Amino acid sequence: MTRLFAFLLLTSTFLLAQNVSVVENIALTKKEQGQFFYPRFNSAGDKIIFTSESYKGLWLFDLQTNVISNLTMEEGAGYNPVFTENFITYRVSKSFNGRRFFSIKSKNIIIGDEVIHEENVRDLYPPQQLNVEDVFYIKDKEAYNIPKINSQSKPGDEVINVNIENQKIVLYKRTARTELEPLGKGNYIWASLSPDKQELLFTKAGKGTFISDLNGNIISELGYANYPSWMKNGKWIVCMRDVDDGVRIIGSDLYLISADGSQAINLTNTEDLMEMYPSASLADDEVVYHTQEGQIHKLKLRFN
Amino acid sequence: MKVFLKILSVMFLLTNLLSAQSLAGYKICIDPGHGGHDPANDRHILPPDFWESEGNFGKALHVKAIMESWGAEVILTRNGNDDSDDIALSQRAAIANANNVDFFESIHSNATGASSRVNFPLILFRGYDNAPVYPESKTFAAVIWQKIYQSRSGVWSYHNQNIRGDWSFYPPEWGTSGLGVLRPLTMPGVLSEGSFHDYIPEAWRLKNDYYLRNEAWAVSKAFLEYFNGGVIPTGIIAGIVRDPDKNVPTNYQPLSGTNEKYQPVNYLNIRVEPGSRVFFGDTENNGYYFFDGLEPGQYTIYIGEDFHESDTAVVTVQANKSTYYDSFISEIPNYNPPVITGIYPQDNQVEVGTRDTIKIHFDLRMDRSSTQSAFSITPNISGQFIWLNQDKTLAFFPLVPFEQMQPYNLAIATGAKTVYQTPLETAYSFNFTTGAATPAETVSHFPADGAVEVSNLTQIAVEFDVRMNDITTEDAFSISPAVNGSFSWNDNFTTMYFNPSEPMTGGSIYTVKIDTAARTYYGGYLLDELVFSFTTRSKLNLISSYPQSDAEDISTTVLIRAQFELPILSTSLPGNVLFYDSTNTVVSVRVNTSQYSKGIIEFEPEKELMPDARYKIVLKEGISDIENIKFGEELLINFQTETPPQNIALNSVDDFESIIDWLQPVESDSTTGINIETTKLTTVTSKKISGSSSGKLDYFFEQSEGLIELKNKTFFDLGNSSNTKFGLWVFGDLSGNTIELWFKDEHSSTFQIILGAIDWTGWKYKSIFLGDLNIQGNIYWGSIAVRKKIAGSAEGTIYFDNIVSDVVTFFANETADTPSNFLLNQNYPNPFNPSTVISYRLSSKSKVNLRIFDILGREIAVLIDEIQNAGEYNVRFSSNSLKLSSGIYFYSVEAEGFDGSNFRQTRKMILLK
Repeated sequence: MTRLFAFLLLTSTFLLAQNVSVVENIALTKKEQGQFFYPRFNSAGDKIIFTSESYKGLWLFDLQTNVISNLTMEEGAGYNPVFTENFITYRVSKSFNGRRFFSIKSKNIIIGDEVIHEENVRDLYPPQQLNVEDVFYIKDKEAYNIPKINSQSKPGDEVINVNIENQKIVLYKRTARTELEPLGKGNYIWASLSPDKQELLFTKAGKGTFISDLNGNIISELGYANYPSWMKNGKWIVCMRDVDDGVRIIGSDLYLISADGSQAINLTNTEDLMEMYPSASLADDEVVYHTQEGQIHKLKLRFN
Repeated sequence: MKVFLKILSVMFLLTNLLSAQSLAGYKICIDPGHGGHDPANDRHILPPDFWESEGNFGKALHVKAIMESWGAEVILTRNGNDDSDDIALSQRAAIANANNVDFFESIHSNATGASSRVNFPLILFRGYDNAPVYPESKTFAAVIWQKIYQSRSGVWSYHNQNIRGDWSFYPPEWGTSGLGVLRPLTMPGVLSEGSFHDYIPEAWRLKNDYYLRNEAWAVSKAFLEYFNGGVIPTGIIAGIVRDPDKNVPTNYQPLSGTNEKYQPVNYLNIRVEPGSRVFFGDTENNGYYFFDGLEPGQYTIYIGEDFHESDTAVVTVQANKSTYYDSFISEIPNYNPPVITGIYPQDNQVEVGTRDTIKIHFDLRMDRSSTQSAFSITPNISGQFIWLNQDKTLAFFPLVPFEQMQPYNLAIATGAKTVYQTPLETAYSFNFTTGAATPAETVSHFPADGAVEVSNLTQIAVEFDVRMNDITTEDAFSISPAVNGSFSWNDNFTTMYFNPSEPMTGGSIYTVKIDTAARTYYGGYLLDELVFSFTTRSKLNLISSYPQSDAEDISTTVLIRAQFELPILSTSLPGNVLFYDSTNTVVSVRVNTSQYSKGIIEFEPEKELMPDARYKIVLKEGISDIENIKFGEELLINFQTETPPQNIALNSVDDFESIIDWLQPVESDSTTGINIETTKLTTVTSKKISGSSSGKLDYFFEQSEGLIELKNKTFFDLGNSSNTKFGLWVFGDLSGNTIELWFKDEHSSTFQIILGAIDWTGWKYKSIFLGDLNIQGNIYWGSIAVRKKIAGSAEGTIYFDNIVSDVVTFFANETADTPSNFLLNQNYPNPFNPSTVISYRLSSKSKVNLRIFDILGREIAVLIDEIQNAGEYNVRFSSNSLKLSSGIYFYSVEAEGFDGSNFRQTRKMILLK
């Protein structure tokens, strides 16, 4: 519950809206370097990883040197990987008789060694980063951290992972697993914990994006806000508002929406570019995203 | 019995053989394309008023049912077809991704976007024609194209395999990124365009649910074949019945070289033998019929329609295949006048039920409009027409009951005509008399007559002793002054509810009346009119607050709480809850918004308040509850924070960085009356006095009296000095329960001392002098206890931190002797879990740095970073707060002596869990 008690500050919506500005929007990759998608920062905010259109492979982009290096070409590696300071933890998939089996691996980007935490498991979800260094994943309805330890054997009651399973939101504490359907039955997607781990951000397909407490009580409604991601201050959400005609994507812009749902600011507002799949930095007021053509961009914001 | 068991076994084996197909273990996402009824996105074809979103959804529901019967797990991206089901393409893909499905299939129908008409299946996969992103998608595309193509006969305009990469179909040069639903997928997937809905004969067929089911079988069979799931032991018979003498309108643009130009026959009546299964055709101009689940073998199809010649065909059904038989039957007009062949009730029947449905049977299919117009009943009564038996039976269902013991006359005038517009030759009428019905009385109502302080959104309830008719009873209900609202009923229609759609006016008298026009379900009278009044609430009342006004000694980390009688309207709070310090500067706070629904405004300062300082909270009149009733006054709550505790002992007994040394409440023999699921001790990082965490006790007493003992596994020797102070930090929960400390003497006798009622929030230091215990000899501490008081809350949360005493209990920080050399000892215990002690020796005053590293050399903790005098030092290191995993770690000390000496040493230690 660290969200600011805004009304006590007696600050108007208009004034707040003026207090966010886009300082910089730069293309990190060039067309001739290839097409890249779904970028993410590392914990320190000085490196980025991204993948191919089909999530095959991972590439590292060093923001200090602008050098791109390929880390792996494994299938599915680019779907929701976790990038702590020097470690990338990711899930890969393999198909046997049409059924997908998953493995979880970690790679040290400094010395290049690789650790396999799980191999060829059916009910295995991508890793999630709880804080700067803690990484958890879900296997067979149990939470494990990296390296593989069944977290339920440990004390503590904080939520360590939020997952989507069988269309529901599932919260994992070390000692309990709780299924949530805050808005009744339906398809829940894109669930994540607030930086203070006290609130839950999620989308219900067709209904919009919401913030609730950890019991599923709705706190605010953000409207149409796809692929939402918390900014590090926990007061703003960055998301995409993509538009389609039922078959093709025909437009997309990135938006910043206040956590109370009262303000939505178009960060890109371009007619010639479709900006998609934003991801916020844990370290800075920065966002990375890809364009429809597969170029990676970085936005720098300023909150006054 | 043995014979019976054998028969059962054989049946079981047979069943298994017959249902040998299986998709068990596969997880598939089915995406019914589009959603809702937006003409721009949901492909509306008029005629025949067909929506692609409806057709896609119908197919998807059948696919789900079929494949789930084979053991597959099927996830639909939408579960309805209203406007909120018009789900973004990115969301559809995200559903498949999040749920770890093996395959994705988006179901659609196609349109040319041009004036020419075609009809064929098209399957799209991600990528280029010869470079699919997922090769499996192209493989599957070929299978599903074949299944869909084979599922119809005589309706296609193109017969070659038609599977395409979406980027070949929608080239990137067009500025697209292909199919928006396939691009973000993490698994193989296709989009199937089953047929063309802007080809009007096909659109009519797509309005037939069995036609959708037929395509669903094709999709499902494709998955079965692709996943090697076996074959289906049954087959399908399907076809289209047309009239060879009539043509469809030219604007249908029927495909040349097909039978599509002939008009399909409605009202089909088709039977297959053996099995005597009957299919009734619809009236949607498609002539379609369909039987699935047929055992292989020879069948005779009997095709009929009242005004067409009949047809018979013998066909052979094969397992896992469809057999088609298209029929042509010519119309045989029948211009005979209709004859009424039966009625209910019978003429002059008495004691007819007051809710019975009237039925009139004709020998020929009737024209609905003229026949309903020719219908009359006297006395008149509101009712609903229902057509049955392929429009040969007209039913009339009374929406309100017939009057009891009332003669009625029912007449069908000669205006009633057959579908060939031949009128009834002679008007027909008959009489009946209804029976008696039990009268009703009201049993109870809410609010009670004369009730005051009634919620402005209260649901008004009236209970009757028998089932009531909703229409007449709702009409008989009135409330004054008028209130907008809606009615609802309990399941057996004995209690009626009126639900205001907006709050009633506060402080007003409302009068509710139900007059005797209300009827029971069977038409019985309401014996007595019901009238009652009540008065609504006028003010939102504050039940309690913490702190109370003029309170002193309030914790600097106080959790401020104002409890109102009803849930709070959050939008009423801006500007109406203010928190100031003594200089009238606003204090920033964190709010627990989840408490609004309990009527509680609860918040805490973002930063610790100043000690011994005055603060004020202002609750203003605009605070409202969910009924829009305002607080209506301005309340000022002044309070003063406490003076910081003095002379707190510095020797730590337990710092709650870990609870490994504590028993859970349920593990203590003294604990009684608790809910063992919800009462537990944990650590949290969000509230603490120092270090990384504090102990958090969540508790729930199930009885009016109870006790929780938090027992430490060790009894700590506190010595025997009566001046020794012993205490701990407690974050209270205002529960009114008491907190106790338990000690033992040298003879193991227990001494319990009450620290007081928990009547505060925020951190407070609570302590005692050991002298107060009147114990001879050494005193040992071992437990904290929470005792339920009768007036205390049954549930709550208390936090503990830093139990301390004056006496040296564990580790001497320094020794008096000055050692001669630097030394770093091996930690003890080693391996350890979760804590261990690291000891070192300084031979001179030094700047000391003691750090912990993991095996990769990453620093994970700094234990000491300060100047220390010469001496022996012991430092306890706990792995819990750092959530370390088992493994090898290193501790390293660096000491820069003020005398110029330098010392650095690293040792290895093992955490073993």
